[in-house]
Amino acid sequence: MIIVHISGHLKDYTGRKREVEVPDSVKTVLGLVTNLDKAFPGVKDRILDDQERTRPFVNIFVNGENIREGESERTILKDGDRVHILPSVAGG
Amino acid sequence: MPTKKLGNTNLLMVGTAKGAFVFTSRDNRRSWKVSGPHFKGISVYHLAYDARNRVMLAGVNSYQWGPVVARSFDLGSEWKRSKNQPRFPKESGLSVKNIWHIEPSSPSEPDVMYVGVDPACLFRSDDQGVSWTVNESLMNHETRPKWQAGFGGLCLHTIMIDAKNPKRQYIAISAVGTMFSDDGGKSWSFRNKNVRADFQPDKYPVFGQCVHKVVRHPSKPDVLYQQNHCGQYRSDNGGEDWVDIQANLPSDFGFPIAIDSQDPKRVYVTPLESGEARLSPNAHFSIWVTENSGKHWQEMRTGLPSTAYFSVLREGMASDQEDPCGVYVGTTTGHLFYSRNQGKTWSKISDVLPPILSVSTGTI
Repeated sequence: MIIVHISGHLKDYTGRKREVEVPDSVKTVLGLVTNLDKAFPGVKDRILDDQERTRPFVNIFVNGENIREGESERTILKDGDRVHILPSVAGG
Repeated sequence: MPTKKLGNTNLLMVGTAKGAFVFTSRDNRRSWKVSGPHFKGISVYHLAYDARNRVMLAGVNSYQWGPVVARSFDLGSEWKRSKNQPRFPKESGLSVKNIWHIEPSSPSEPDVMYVGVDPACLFRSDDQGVSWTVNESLMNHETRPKWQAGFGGLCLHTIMIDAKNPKRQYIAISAVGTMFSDDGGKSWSFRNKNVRADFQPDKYPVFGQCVHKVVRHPSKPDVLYQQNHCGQYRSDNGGEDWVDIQANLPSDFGFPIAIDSQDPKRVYVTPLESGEARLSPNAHFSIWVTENSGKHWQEMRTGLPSTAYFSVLREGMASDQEDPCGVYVGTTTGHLFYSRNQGKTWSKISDVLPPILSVSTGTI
């Protein structure tokens, strides 16, 4: 299982859940977000734009590492990973 | 003057940089009750009330979580997001940044709605806003690679559907210009002849004009008015060509334009001092009205602050359907004014709102 931490307005989509589990069969961050969308319709549109790129002011961390510093949405996931989806600070 | 009352409740929807506010009046616009902010902290660019289906729609644009269209059947107490949001297909390479305008189609198409977005395109819903489909003709328009954005983005901000023939459609894009379709959006042509583009080497190009807002009256569908970055214009032939109607206005620059619901020759603008300053000219915030289709303009400011440095955005002014017509204007400083008598006198509804992005009206 992969543990996903949800914050901000995204909780509107998850019934206020701050933490959800996703099966490790998803393989990548893109797969994880697509899987989340099946459970919580509409959430993918909030995280990714129409081209399935992470929105500019959204950060996704896998085990504390920002995916933009790695393989972005193609970042490989494995059992036990912890994913944080967070709005960026974007201001003072 | 006695007034003709249409419905029981007048509706004034205000989109701001920090949410939406819904004002209602049940005493012929003498007093207003307010609810909101809806979508607290998030920019709401535009709201529309679809009287055909008694549903309110909002274009909600979060800089973090992206744009959504949301619907409410109870004047904002509860909102539901569209099931399938306006989204470009993967192969387009485009991505919706903001929802700019929402427009119900004609009465003959009660389930059809349109939204305009940035990057400029039109989306259509055939199910009252539950799901949206891109207009492929506009998305793939042969001139799109040459389209340039205005300061607010490459936004499609005006949608006008002919009440009797919904296949006749006008849209306006900054900074592309006015476009027309007579086949329900299967093809689009430009309607910018004689409209200036001072910022282009060719001052009168086929497209590339920075149109800020276009309006028309349902009873005169071929007469269009526009506030442009470079002047105020009227077309008497469905946009085939335009005539400059700045006349005695203090500036050619401004954003919004509204038309009187009871008189197609009566139009309202609020000019700003140049594209650089974008403030009330000489600190006089005024609404200017023409009663003769733009031959002459009269300043209307009774009840407005004597000195004010206001700015009004393209969706920041609207008229209602009452007789005499009401006019509403919201500023980027959060001041909301209105007139129940065609602009002759003005009253303040609020001066404590967040920056106002749009005002729109409805009757329930």
